[in-house]
Amino acid sequence: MNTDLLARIPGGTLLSALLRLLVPDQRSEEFVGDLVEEAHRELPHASSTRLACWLWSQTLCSLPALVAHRARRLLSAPRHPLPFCTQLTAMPSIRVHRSWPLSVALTAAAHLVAGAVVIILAFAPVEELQPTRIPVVLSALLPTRTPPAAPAAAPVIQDQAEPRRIPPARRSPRTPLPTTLVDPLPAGEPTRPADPCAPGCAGDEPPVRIPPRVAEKRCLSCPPPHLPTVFQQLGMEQQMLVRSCVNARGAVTSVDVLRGLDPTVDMGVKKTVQAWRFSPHTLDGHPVPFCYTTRFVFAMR
Amino acid sequence: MGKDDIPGSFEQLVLLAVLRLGEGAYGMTVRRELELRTGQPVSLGAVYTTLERLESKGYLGSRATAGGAEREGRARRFFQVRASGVEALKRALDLLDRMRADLPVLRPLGVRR
Repeated sequence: MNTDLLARIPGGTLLSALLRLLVPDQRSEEFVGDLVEEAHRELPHASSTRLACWLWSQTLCSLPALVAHRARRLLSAPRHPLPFCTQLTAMPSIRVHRSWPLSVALTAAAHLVAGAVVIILAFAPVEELQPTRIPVVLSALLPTRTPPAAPAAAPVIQDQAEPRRIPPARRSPRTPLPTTLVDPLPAGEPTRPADPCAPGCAGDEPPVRIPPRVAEKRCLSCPPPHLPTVFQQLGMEQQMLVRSCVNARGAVTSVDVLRGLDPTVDMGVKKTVQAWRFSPHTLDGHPVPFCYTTRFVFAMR
Repeated sequence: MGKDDIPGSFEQLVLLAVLRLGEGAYGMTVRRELELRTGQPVSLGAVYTTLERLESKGYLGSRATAGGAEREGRARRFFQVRASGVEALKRALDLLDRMRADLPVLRPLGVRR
């Protein structure tokens, strides 16, 4: 009968090899001896399977400490000066590990691989990517309010992939905005930074262009437009650019969306701005029509 | 004061265990003493690596002896605390005492027998 415990238990050879790897030199024999002595003391009449379980559990519990200690010893192993730098041995920092040939070989191999990768990347044909602008119809995100006539497969995706297929008229539809699309709750206070007015506003007389801050002072009733709740949930800052023309009596005569968000939102904003009332803007004492451009910034809550 | 002048907390425990065990201090007995006194499970690997580290610092001396039948002939290494180890242990414990002096919440619990 074999008297060696590690030779009798299942996996004993592997356990012995693992311990020899982790505990170097003679300490390995002493470590195994302590384990065997403790196993005989703790489990005197246990089966070989139970002994194996006990020994493996003890070894695995010791594994972190043994691995850390082994790594520390390897890193702080005795160092020797480079043989071809003997003239520099007076400098204590010029020292390498005992296995310096292996280190040099590994370092050279790593540099070769890195150099090859750099060369391959430098001469590889790179396809230039052109930026594409994809218009997103925000109303497509409204699941219950999209027109049901469209077939199930296509229109939204094709509109996003093919920007030119979207006619400009679709961005400002002429159909009246359903009142249910405008959320009664306020979405955010629109701000109106300065923006120069563009020419060409409609009116009986040629309108004058005035800055937005002057137009705001003329404003008598200008409730801010509201953004529907669905667009608030997008979590983005929404901006619109609107040019409004006001006649000499202070009524808004035309509203043009220069930069819109979505046909439904644009129509709602146009409808809101159309109802604004201004005090007449006077020039040399005479009321004159004017135009100005407003930028609406919907800050999400 | 260098880093090695003050042993770590687990090193202090191991040094104290070796001091307590006297002539019979080797890996497994040190582990048993630690578990008995602290009530915490201690792995044999942690004890072995700490004993080796303390020996490399010069705090412990060791001698290897032949093992008996209970170890299936494998060698056994006994450890004893050197004077430098005792000094290092004193320094560490003095530091702790100085730091906790006049702190009522850290009043010594006394020796449990």
